[in-house]
Amino acid sequence: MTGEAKHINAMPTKAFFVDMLVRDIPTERAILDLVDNCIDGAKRLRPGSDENFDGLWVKIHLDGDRFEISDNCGGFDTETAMNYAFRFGRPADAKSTDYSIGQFGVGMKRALFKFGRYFEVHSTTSYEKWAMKVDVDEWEHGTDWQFEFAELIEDKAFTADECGTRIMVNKLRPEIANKFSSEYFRRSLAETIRAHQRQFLSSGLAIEFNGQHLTHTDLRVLSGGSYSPVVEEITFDRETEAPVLVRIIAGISESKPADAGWYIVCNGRVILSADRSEATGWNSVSEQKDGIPKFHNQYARFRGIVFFDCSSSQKLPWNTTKTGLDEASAIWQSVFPKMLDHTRTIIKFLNRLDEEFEEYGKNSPTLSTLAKEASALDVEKIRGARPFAWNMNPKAPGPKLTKIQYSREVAKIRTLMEALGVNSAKAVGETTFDMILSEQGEDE
Amino acid sequence: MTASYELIDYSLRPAKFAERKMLCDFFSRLRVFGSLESYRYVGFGSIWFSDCILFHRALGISDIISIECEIDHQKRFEFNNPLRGIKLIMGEASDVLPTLDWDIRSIIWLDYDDPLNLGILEDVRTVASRARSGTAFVVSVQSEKIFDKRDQENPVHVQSKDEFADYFGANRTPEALAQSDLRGWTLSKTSRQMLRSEINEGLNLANAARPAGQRIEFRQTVAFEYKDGAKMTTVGGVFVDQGQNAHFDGAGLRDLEFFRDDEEALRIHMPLVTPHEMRHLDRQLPAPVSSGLNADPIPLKEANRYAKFYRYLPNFASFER
Repeated sequence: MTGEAKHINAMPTKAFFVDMLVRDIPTERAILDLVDNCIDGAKRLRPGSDENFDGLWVKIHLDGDRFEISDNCGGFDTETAMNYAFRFGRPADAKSTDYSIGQFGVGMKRALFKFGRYFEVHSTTSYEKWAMKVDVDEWEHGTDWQFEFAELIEDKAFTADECGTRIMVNKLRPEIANKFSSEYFRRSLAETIRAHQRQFLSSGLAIEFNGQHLTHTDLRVLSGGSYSPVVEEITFDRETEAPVLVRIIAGISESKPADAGWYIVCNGRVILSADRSEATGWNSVSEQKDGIPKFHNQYARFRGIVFFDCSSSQKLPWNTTKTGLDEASAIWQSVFPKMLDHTRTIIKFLNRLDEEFEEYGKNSPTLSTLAKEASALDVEKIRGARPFAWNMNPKAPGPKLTKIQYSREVAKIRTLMEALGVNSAKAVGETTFDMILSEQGEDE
Repeated sequence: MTASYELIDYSLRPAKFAERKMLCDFFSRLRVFGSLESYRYVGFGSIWFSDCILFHRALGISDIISIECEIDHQKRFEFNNPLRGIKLIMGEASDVLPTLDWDIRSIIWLDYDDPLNLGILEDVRTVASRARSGTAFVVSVQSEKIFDKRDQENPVHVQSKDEFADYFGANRTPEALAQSDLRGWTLSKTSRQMLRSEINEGLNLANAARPAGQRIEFRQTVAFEYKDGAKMTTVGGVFVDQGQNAHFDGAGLRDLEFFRDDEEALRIHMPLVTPHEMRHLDRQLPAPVSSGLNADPIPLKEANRYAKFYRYLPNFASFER
């Protein structure tokens, strides 16, 4: 120590860094991040706004022992690997993908360290092929803040078929192994991926999850005849190089409570799915205000979608991890009241429908003209501003019906069920009604 | 509507009777985990208490709990309680199960009259996430048709994957679920798969906090399907922690002819034979595997069914000469 200046050590330990890095990210998110990286690769490979990902694939495998994700989406080069992908923190001069949905550096590292204590990354681009293998325990014990290449082939041409990335993690952390071995976790993860990446799936990207091909879920609204969803299109920052295009669609679809609500889509990624919370304006009824009620099953036909698209992805109203909504975003604040207007319009229509249904039952005139005139249309295909429209003078398909409700002793109803040979109380009611009516000579 | 005990005399359902006897054989082998006298039995005894009585007489279990949800008829249940050792607890299984003492090694048979529904799955999960090693768990459900009764007035007969996912949730829905999995005997298989998945899920959650070596697995032991009236199916097994796997393997459960640890169930067929024919066949039983029965003039199919189940058949055939 003599002669040398004494100093206070502020060097973080690697274990601390790893711990900090993985702490606050949910497992599902970490996997979605990795899928996003693949999709960003696909976007680099097939640039432009008209996405066609035919022939590109992502394969995910996970179980209690191992996680693996591979794609044929172009790979990433050693330059990116050496200087960006594995740096802790994002260098100021980092490259970005147009219309990107991922957050390249952070997402991958976090996922790798979060899942397990050993990982491999293999990537092949059109001119390079490389691999790295990291045993995290060994790496934490060393002093160097760097990883070594396990394989490196430069300046050689590779065919498009060979290009892609493969990431494998094993020696899974116990809590991760436990999760990955749950069938329910795997199924709900497959559903989440399917819901969030639906637009890319519908653009032809193939995603395989534990050997199962994920099909895209349809997001459709009814349109046709005198029926039309409302469409509003707005452009922000029109004069700049990266304008933000916003398209709001609100309308009706089949009655499915689980699918009803707002969908918020940023650069193709669904960040909110079937949302019925305050975030998208539901349950905002308050005093002196004509708000929107809490979601109720009579609104199970409601579908609303907002598409935000911008080549510069930080302009979109998502949080820094691009996984959720940033309600403070200026663009969101400007779009939100427009969404409320359209929600109100649709809700008014659905309330009307509900009243009509009470009165007519299955013979509701609006429902039957809806079924006759309109068909389900993929929301991606609906463009061009238009107001909400419906058939205001629908014809009833049959006579008006009304419901009769009454209670009788269970044992007596059972006696009649047996006597009439029917197996529900409802059927007892209907059959006895018809019998009396016929007895009176009034049925036709 | 009407409680099922008012419609069916449980003791007279022959396939159910055989199932009960086979389960009794299964439970008798649990003594590798601890004396049967120290076990507790938890079941739905109804007003017949057939299960409670059998397991008391055959296994010597005297700590017995019968859960009964027909609160309005409590007096009648109490009146019919045949043993001092049976504690009748009135209430829904979902309310009673979490309050039981799960440190006691138990035999639990949730014998529902209903087809699979969300409430049953919740009960199954409650048991799976609490049971200790050595506890046996059996679940029976009706498997004729599944109904989504969330809207009481308009129950939906669940016939498609969409309806299934809508009712049970996406994470409970197998990716490859086909319409054929929701009808006929295949629905029995689907029901058992669902029950097993739910057990595994409950275990998975509980195991997250258990140290390696003490994680509990469900070792399936039995699977039955039968049709006394409506189709019914049963799946059962033992919760075993990793340290006690050798106990399970050494219990001789695999020697039971009705042992089933995979997707296929033993289908219980009641043989149609007269008392005289039974005595004729009895003299040839147990038959060595290789040699066929001398059945004539009894149809061979019936004779073989008899040979398969004769040890478990009910003895309440009428005694005509």
